[in-house]
Amino acid sequence: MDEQARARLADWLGEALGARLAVTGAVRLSGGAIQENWQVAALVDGEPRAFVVRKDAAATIAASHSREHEFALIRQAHEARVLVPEPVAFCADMGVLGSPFAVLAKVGGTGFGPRIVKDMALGGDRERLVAQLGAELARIHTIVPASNKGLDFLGEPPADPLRADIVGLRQALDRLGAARPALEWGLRWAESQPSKRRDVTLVHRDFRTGNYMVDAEGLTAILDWEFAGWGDPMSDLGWFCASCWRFGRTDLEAGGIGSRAAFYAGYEQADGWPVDPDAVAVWEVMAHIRWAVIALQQGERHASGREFSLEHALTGRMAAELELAVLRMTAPAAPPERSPA
Amino acid sequence: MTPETTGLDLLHAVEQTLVNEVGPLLAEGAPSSDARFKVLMAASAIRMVMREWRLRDELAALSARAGGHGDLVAAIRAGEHDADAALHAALLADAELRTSISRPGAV
Repeated sequence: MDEQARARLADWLGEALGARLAVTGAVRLSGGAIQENWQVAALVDGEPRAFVVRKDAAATIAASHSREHEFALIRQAHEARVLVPEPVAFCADMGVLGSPFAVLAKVGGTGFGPRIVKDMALGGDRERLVAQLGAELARIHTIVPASNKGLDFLGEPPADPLRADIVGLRQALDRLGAARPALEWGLRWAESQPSKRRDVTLVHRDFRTGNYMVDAEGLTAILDWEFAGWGDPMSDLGWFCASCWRFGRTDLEAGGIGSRAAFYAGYEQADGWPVDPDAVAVWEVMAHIRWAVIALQQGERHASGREFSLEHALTGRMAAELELAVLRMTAPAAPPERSPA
Repeated sequence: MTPETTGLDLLHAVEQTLVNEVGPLLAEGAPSSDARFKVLMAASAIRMVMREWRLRDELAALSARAGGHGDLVAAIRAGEHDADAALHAALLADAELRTSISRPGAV
């Protein structure tokens, strides 16, 4: 971010906040071909504040929508008292930084999943942390289609979220040209399970260890809202508990962090929906299938020659272990013994 | 006869060099952590190739059986294999073999 860009950002953000604002530092945090994150230090009416600026590296219409929608989701979550980085302002004016961007308050802590699972100095008491995560999820699930303001871009809520996901994953496999009988087995198994109708709510769709931040005391923020949509609230519980997201601590069923009981209790005590363990179990199978499809999509980016990446190539090979997990969770019941004729 | 280094021995030597000699030069922490991550990733890919080579006969048998997967997909979707214990067992054996190559710890 050069001097001119910093000056334009300072002018725009100062006006948005109705304050005298000077940018005192801007450091690029992470990113890649698609997205840039900047940590911006500023003096706001003389008080030091830290922000994160999230912008698309390449200005495309589809991508700019994604940043704007992500900001709208974070704002809704913030209004529902979910622990998210405070949404400060969104800029659609391409003239300021070259593409649309969101400004959020900077939040402390670390988000790297394997580190959080292993480093017991982080996150405070682990049973308390999973209860806290359950409570955050319950607050996300208070956002329902009828009450939503400004989430029209999410489209019509699906009448049957499980069925909609099954159809979507089959289409994704067809688009990849991938014949994966083990994933098909799992999808057919999920389709055959008895399902109970439940209200559709906002679901985060990537609520797992690795997508929240903690410091030494506990939770500091729920991140990564770009996959959120209308769905079955039980799907978020299944994604969080799925064994593929425990980072080696398979014994700790709630995200490799704590017990399932503490997570469910935290969810229900914060006025979450009644936990339906059978539905969560189906969504755990679906979580493995969805992650396998994403892994195959990443592997294909390398295998097709579009994007050289050893990491993508290796991610594609993770599909095998996910398929193995799906098959182990969906073994057919032993046939009843035949009585003699 | 002169002992000869096989292709697998060479791969093993490359993998060990990356893990034991190159990796430690790239200390943890930015900005070299990315390079260290990539070296360890490369070593992991080499171990995968070695396992795949050792299991090549089993893999060849597997891909021969997998010839008609397109039809199988349609049949599974149509419900023709619901609770088909024999198919489940075959898929499980395939997935175990492929996982024993990609991540043996998960089998």
